[in-house]
Amino acid sequence: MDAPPLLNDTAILVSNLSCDYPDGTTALRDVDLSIRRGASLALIGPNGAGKSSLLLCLVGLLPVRGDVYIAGEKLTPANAARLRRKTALVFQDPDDQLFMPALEEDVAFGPINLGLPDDEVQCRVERALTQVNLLDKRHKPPHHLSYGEKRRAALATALAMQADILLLDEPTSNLDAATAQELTAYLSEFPGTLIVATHELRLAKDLCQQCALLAEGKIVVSGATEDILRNEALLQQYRLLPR
Amino acid sequence: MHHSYLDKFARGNSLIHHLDDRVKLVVTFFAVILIASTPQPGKIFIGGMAAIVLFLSLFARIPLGYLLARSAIILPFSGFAAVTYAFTIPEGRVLLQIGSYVLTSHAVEMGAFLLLRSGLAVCFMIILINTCPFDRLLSALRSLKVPALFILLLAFFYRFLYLLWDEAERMQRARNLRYFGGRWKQQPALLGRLVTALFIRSYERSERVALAMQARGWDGESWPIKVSPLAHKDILYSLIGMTLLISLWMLRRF
Repeated sequence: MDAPPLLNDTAILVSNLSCDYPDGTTALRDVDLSIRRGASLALIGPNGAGKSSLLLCLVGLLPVRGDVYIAGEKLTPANAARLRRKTALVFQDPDDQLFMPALEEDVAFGPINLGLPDDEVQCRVERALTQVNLLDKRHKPPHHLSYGEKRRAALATALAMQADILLLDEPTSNLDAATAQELTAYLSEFPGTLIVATHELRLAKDLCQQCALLAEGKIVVSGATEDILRNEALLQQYRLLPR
Repeated sequence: MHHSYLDKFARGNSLIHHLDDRVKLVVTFFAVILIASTPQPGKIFIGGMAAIVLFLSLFARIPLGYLLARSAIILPFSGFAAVTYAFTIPEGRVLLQIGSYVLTSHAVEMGAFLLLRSGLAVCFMIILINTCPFDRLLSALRSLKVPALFILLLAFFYRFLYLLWDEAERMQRARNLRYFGGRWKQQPALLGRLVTALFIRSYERSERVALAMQARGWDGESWPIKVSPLAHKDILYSLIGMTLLISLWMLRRF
């Protein structure tokens, strides 16, 4: 099969992507997606639509059928680790993301694995923790942080990677309104490509120009966020708005 | 689990807290090995070790009550070991006979020594983890050439112990919410199901954590650790500590 045409400004291109869970359940079916460099895309959909699975596929953490291109290069098992350097993923549950005994060690984990020198690692740790306003808690073990702090800490672990593409899974779920607003404001200034999986329509509207609605593992519709969010009947049909 | 259950005083500000973590680690392990390898210690050895524990506890500002309460955790295990061990020693004046099993005065003394030794060893370990935060302890182990994979397992153990405990508490709470007494015969089976569910949840979480590690470039290799030179005070502490411990060991029969 011929590779799909790649534009120089495409950050991620997904073509005919399918993925099954180990028990045989289909997670994703024939997904096609294209995200421009520096653009922001909201993946919206009801619970169990396949949003989190799609994020994992985009960074090569789940085996897939079909093609994923990151910055013009096809993702394969052989180059997945190298291409993941261009991406940073924030998991939905911060307790999955934070696994080291101290916060600063957790934030340093990614940069160290990038093979950066010690002073650069320290510099990135301080910058990332400053960005999420957690520098004063750098020595704390993650279990001493509040839930909101853990969410920000998880974001810091991704920011320290200084990746071009940032993927976030339900970044504002379970956060109080003020913290969610602060996080949204911060993310809106992210200079790279942003992909946000969420079922919170407000977040999609505030953060992303593009939007794709995912249901039962398939992209139902994609386009400008404003246009999709205006279609109340569609959103009700896919349980994103109450009937 | 209370979040500072294990290492409440680890971020203290005493001289002992400021010593190099490698020195504390090596001296503590040396003390524990000496205690473990002295089956019949004399009063000077036991008294000397107890005095060191007392001195360290006061100097590091770790309350004695906290130290004793934490060290009591091992009492069920060491107590069981001491009792079973005591019944295997036939020498000495018979104090109690149950069938073919006899308990002698010498056996009681040996059992008591076992309890004291295990208690002292645990006290040394508790002082170590309360004067050295766990992340620094792991760095010290790494700089002492302990394999990276082992360190990572310890790091996970520390990080997820609290998480699993919290998860177990949440499950217990959910069970209590809908349990109104009675039907006690079904409780062991229910407990078994709770434990099974906890294992499954732990397994699933471990898979997600593995993905999170891969997402940040983990390839199973170790990562570098900065090794700083020892200061004069660290060398002095290790010399005094080692000399004291060796002196006590030489006097172990008295």
